[in-house]
Amino acid sequence: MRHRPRADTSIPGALVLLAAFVGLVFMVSLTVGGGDYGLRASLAYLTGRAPPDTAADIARIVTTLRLPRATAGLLVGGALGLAGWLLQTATRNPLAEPGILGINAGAATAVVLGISLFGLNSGAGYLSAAFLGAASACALVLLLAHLGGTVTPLRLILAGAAIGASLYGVTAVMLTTHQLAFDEYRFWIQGALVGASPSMMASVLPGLIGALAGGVMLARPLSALTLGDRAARALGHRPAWIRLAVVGVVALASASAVALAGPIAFIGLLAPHVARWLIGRRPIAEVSASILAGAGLVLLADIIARRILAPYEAPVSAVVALLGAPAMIAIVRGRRSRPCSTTGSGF
Amino acid sequence: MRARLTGLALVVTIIAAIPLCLATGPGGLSPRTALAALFGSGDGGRVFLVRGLRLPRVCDALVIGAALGAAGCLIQTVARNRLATPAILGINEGATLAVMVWVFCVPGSGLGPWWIAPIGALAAAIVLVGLSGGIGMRGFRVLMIGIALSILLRSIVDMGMSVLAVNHATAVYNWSLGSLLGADFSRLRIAVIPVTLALAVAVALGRRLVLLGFDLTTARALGADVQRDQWLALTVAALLSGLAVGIAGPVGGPVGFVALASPVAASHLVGPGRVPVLVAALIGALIVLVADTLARVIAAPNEIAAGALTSVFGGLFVLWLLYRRTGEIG
Repeated sequence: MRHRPRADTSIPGALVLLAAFVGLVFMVSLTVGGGDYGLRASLAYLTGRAPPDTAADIARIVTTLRLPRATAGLLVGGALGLAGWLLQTATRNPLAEPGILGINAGAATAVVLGISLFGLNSGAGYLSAAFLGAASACALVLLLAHLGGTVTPLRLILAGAAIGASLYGVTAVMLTTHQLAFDEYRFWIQGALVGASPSMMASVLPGLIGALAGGVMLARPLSALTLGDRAARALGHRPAWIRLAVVGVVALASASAVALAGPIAFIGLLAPHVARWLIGRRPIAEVSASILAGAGLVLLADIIARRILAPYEAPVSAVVALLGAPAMIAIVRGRRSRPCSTTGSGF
Repeated sequence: MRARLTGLALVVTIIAAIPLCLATGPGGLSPRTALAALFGSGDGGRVFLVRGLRLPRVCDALVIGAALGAAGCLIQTVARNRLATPAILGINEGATLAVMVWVFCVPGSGLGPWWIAPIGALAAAIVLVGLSGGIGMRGFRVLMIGIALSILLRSIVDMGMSVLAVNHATAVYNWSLGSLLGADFSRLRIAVIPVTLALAVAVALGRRLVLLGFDLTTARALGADVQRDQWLALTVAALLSGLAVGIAGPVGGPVGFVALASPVAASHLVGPGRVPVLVAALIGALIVLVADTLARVIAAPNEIAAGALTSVFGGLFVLWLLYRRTGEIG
């Protein structure tokens, strides 16, 4: 670990580069897609050089289809990157993330139950149902991993997989028994940015901003917690409250992401690893980098999802899993030298 | 002796359960009339309901359950971990993917043939062992890599599903949930032969695998060819679970409740120091039989997939195991 003075508030160059990269991918995301207006025509439009007869068409496609989608990608990715960083830091487990731990599944199941049993149909309703589901799943998985013995990464992952499987069954039962239009939910339940409407984003935005603010405020206390409870207390932090706040912020961030785009796994796994690789041990810069990396990864995956099976569209979650599952395998294999069980947990 | 008595009791229970399962559901049959219809007496509608619709489901359920129970017993013994099942390790997903690939490669074929699934399962098992550097020594690594592998394979299946036309995707989606609705004898008639053969091998293997219950050095000293037994057991288990997927889709659910719970229950019934493959197979058959019957009536008039039901129970069972048996799951 590199030792840096605590007062170092300069913005690392890597963070600036990452932000620039996200901006670039965002622009590319506006230019890629099906239809007659590919990269060249879209670029011409964006730079104001489109021929007047097609400008109106392109404008409609870019502003009503691609812009909301790219914005949703930005929001969803940022939220998942934040949730993943908080979970990995809080549990000291490099595999912890809202998808693998079943938190996204909790949010998704709560939304499906809300729609089919209580007739929810507003963005705020989806978000509150998703928040309830995510918070319960998050609390449950951390509690179960903690009960009945020491918390090993394996116990945490298995508890998450088990909760995820149970909820998957519940969702499947709801989808097959209630004549919810299966097609309408086919993409959402798999995780995709297609359905995210501007009004949906507007209703999710306050929650997301709250989660981001909470996450950045938690970054420093949380890294103090990695030194152990006693050291954290000596530094003036209150461990129990920090953990409660982590559960709340993680649930809010995952719930916003799921309400917008359905459950997407692995972004929360990959983004913090990218952030640690780029930044190193500086909590606030690291969490910012994780948020940016998450946004960049989702945008990138969404671009791939649009092109990989053209003219069809792949669910973005499947593309992310194609990148993320090998990363998970590599992380597990890379830990060969250290036995897994020695990595304790903050929870 | 205890094992034989347990097995006998299970066989009696299953035989007693069959008329009940044939009678349950719409149609207002009693076990007695259902049994009569099974042997061809009663009006034509009833005979068709029992012989044409419900009997194939019961037979499918018994065969699949037995295959999954035996496969789970072998894999748990080899991986030395109660949570190792063909579903968690990605072997079932390999089988599902193989069926999916067939749908793409042979247009207009509906679902893939039953024999393509065990090939996919075997391939997934080989990839799994290759990635985790051997099975058995490091149970936790095999499990974690298995979870990652199953997510990876499922995402490929998801991608394929999004390409298939909507109607077709609904059919494949329902199949991928693991449902016995619409079962007929066309797949089972041939698939039952390899299942029976593999079950016989599995039962014979169970006796040899008892030695693997010791630590590996002791097992070698007692004369077990550990490596060969592990590979043999894994191959047979992959074939069995692949065959089950090929017959009716992943009925065991994403954590493989049947393969998970049957061996645990079997060990409790038979007592320590044995690898109760046959008893686990019987319990598995009973579980799938009950799950399929429940799936038929629990949300009547709708029918839900048995796999959805087993996945709910499977998740809860894993949580219970995590809470109770810290020693056996690392």
